[in-house]
Amino acid sequence: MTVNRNNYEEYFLLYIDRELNGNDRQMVEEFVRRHPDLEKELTALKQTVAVPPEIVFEHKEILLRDEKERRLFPVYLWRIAAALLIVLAGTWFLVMTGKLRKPGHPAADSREMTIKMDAKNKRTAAEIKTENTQNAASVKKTDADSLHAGNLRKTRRAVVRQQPGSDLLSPDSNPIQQKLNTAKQNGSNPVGKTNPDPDADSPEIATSEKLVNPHPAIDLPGVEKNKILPETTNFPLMPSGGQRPPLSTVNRQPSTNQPSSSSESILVFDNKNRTISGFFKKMMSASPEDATADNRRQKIRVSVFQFNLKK
Amino acid sequence: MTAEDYNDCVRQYADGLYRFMLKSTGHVEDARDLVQSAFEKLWEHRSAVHAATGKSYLFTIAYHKMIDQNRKNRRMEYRDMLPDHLETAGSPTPRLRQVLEEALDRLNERQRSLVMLKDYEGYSYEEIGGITGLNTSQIKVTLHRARIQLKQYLVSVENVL
Repeated sequence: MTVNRNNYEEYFLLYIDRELNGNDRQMVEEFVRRHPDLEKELTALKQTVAVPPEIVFEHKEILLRDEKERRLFPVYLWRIAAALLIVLAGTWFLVMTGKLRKPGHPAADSREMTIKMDAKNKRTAAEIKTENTQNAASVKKTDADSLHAGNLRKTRRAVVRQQPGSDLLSPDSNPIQQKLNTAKQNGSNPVGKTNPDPDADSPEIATSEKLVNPHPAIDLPGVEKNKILPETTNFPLMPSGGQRPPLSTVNRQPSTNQPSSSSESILVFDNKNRTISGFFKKMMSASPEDATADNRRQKIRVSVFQFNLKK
Repeated sequence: MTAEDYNDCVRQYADGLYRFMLKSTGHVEDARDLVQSAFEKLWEHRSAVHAATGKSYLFTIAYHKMIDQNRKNRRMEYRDMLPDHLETAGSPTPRLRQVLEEALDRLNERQRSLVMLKDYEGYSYEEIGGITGLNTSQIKVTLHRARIQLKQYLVSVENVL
């Protein structure tokens, strides 16, 4: 194929791009000599060839390498190792969590044992509750068993301090008791048992509860923290006189009609930690004619609570 | 390729590769990053790269990285970012060279890359095809259109002047 006026531009472009062999280059040069009017065209195309500017990559020594500095563990191997580590960790986690669900695993066994112990404790508590309807002292034990572990210490402390003969509970040594005695003399009759008799069916208790003012207003003096009031007290949580709050209270709310019910609560006010904790117990008893399976057993319900007072 | 072959590539091709990247991206730091990235790749794969193909390997890596980067960034203001001392450094024919640089800037990305690979580095159509992944016909047509566009710009400027 030879160059002519119809295809000279393609040859010119291949010429300046140095894509023609020696013979074709000579052919193009001969064609331009024979057609001087096209020489200007070839010259213009030659001017489009860019000349590389003097641009230097400074500090190219940073690119130089030495065979000795070859990394012992290439980057891609580190990446592979990291991926494997993640996969292994995930697999281990899944295996361990799966084992926890399988019976026979120590962790699962301990959890099951805990659950079984809880159920056993519940049954024991129910039995004790039934027995304690006849025994006021054992009611305290039942309540203590039902309490949350975090509050167990405080409850025990309250029970211990409620033992007869304790200085705190002594009417002579306890100013609060003196206040309560004064209230009694004024006609207010708080629930009058240190260990309240849960036998709500007892005519004696029922009669005495009818006489109780459930919310007598007692102006309590300032008392030291964590001191437990005797359970014979019956007053609201906050003193009416704007004094410091009471340390504890035991409240029995009598029912006036059969079936009878009684409730009891013990509050412990911790001034240092600004908390009020305690438990609430409610006993139900029913008359024989409308007794159900639950209230025939004189069902006892206990709630444990703790309030954090805003500082 | 040995470590010495690699270092020879650094000494011989670092400037040309940096020029190619700088003209393509218009950003000094981007160009330096691309060059370093290409040499890093060459070092990692030096056992699989023959010393004779080191230059084309570098340009191939850098070109494709540059294309990817430009697609992400689409920086059209690159020319304003070029330092002045790099624009005219060592220019033997200041006026014509300036006009040609302006004309190059008016080409699209592919045209400019092919012209630089052809004129700056002296690659053949086939070699350019190996670097860019284009076939010879595409390269030929693209380069011819670029030449015509450059020529028209040069003629128009000469007429104005």
